[in-house]
Amino acid sequence: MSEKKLFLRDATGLVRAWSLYDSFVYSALSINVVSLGWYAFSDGAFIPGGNLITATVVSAFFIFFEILTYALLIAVMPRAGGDYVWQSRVLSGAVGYVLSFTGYVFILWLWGPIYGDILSILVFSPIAAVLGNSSAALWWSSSNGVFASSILTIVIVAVIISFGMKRYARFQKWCFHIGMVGLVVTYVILAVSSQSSFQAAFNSWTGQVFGASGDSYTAMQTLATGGGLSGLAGLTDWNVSTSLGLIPFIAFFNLYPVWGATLYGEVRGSNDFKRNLKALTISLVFTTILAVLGFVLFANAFGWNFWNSSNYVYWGTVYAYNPSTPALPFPIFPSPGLFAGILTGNLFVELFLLVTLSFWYWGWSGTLFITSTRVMFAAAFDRIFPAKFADVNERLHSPINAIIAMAVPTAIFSYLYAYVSFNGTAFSTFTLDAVLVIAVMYLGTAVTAAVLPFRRKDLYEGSPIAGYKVGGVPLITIAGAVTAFFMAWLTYEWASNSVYGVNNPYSVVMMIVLYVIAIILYFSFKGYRRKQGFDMNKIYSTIPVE
Amino acid sequence: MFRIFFATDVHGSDICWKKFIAAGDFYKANLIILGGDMTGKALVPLIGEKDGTCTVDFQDNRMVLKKPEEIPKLEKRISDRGYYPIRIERSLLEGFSPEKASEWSNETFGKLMIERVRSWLKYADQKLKSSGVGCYVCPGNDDVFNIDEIIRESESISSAESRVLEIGGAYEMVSTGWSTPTP
Repeated sequence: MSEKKLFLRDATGLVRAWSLYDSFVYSALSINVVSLGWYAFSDGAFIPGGNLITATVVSAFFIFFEILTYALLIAVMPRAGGDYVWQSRVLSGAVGYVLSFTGYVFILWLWGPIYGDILSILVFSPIAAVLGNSSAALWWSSSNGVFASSILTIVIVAVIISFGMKRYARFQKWCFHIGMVGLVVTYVILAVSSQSSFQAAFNSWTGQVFGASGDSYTAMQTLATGGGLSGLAGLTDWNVSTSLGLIPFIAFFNLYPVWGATLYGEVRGSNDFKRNLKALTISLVFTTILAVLGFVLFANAFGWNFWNSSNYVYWGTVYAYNPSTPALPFPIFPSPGLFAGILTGNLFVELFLLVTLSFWYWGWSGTLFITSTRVMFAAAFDRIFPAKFADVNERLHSPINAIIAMAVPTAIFSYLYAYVSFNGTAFSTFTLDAVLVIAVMYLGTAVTAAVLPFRRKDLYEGSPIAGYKVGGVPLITIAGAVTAFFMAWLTYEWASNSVYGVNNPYSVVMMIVLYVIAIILYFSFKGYRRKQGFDMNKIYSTIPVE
Repeated sequence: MFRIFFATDVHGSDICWKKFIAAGDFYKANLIILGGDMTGKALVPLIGEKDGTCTVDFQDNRMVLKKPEEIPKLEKRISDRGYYPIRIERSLLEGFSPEKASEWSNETFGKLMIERVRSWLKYADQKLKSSGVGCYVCPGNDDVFNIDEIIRESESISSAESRVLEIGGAYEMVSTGWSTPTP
């Protein structure tokens, strides 16, 4: 009889639904280097002197403290609802409700069209292009194409949510494995290629597909310079101080390795601090290595200046379209997967790469609504949100009402994102609002962690992390303080620098509206329950032991 | 308004049981109900070493207790979390045959589960007797049958198992600890 069995008795509830590897995969997909990374890295040229490698590594250093904070909090309170539960039990019900509903529910309405845009420009548009259909490639990048992809994303995510945790874990693992095959093949092609061979292949391909003539490769760089690109840092110009300005862009990609926090109540054994820390840290390190390796290979195969110039020209046409601009030799998103395919000149390889790389998107897409539904569940169980949003339809095994609560506003935001401008400022330029609102929620959680040992001494001292101290200070306080500093700095940068597209009046109004909706919802429910005889303050306070 | 506080799955935790008993007063409930699964799932051995220290693996940490006064404090922490602390000498542990180990494990679990439920009922009798708060408990599918008898000994708690009970003069409650196996 093993020693472990000797001290355990046969009882229910001791089987782990998710392994350490499952946690790693969920985290690695939440900050995946293809869907989120390639999209975020394309902003690298917009900060003069900013080095992508420096920004990625420095941000990863601070995000490690975010991981540490969450692993410690999960060990103390492994509850479905994550941030909402922690903040509401440690800080206050109102803070937990407002920050979590904005950060995990309302802002995901904006993330819907961002997911849709990524699906359009990284999957559908390049596939249409390699099949030789240039008008379809352009359509998928257009407003109509992005809107169609956003609606498709909503449908796909609704189906994935009905999988349940066990099937979802299997699905995301398959996606991760297939996506990794695509990424490894892409990197190998880039590693064995030269810039001259890419230039020749690119010029030939743009001629065949988009009817471009002459040296498109050089033309893209000339267009970027003419459009205002200057001060581009070289691959190895480390420039720490100027590179800090890139971190608010990079955060779009790597800020959320802890995105699974709201699900941990459903993961058996999730209060194992070391296990969570290990899974999340491996995910962060693994993703950071993939990103840095990618930069080196892009520079090797495409040329650093060309790749950044292509990105600069693409976003220039999306956000500052000028009808007098001459037709671009390459008018779609410069996806590194597409470029790797072009290098081979083989349609089968091109399709193989784009399809396998798309699995980074499919595996990641579930993260759009899963967390939102869990926050709604947790709030509904607290009677501060309608209970019907916690219902799971027995026939479809799916939280239909919660999905509708996400899908309908997401469809409206998709319309705004695809078609609407305010006085010449496109709604789609508010993309980083989606990260800012999440960072503010993380800031709330980091403060929660920092004060937990003092405000909820009972919970802290009875938890597995009570012994972790540095110089007599609880580790969770130190980790929370560093994370809070990082989130506050990011928020300040987004709010104070117009390059991020966040600090214009329309963007600010949109975010304020989201916070106001959350505040109204909270106090309306509190008042409604008071009339029914419930004191909501007692939901968030703890029952005395004696 | 007749108010009910319902909780379940306290699984051996002293703190959870005490909170359950205090919940009637805290939430101004007329009746508190524990839906099942009172007993804990694991023993935490405090292993006596030859050098007089005591080794304990608890909450992913290995602790070596050097002072005897540290032991009761840790035992309380273990009980608060829902486990059963058990002091055992290293030599005894290493000398177990597979049959003897199984026998020892079953006996120890049985003894400690019953001891804890008895102490809980004694605590509840002190707190609830003159409080005006009613209390029903129903053993669950993770509980051993022996505790049914012990619950019936309580002065302030009634067992709800296999009974139809009238609640608040307006409702009927049926309760059973039998359930389908957990998937």
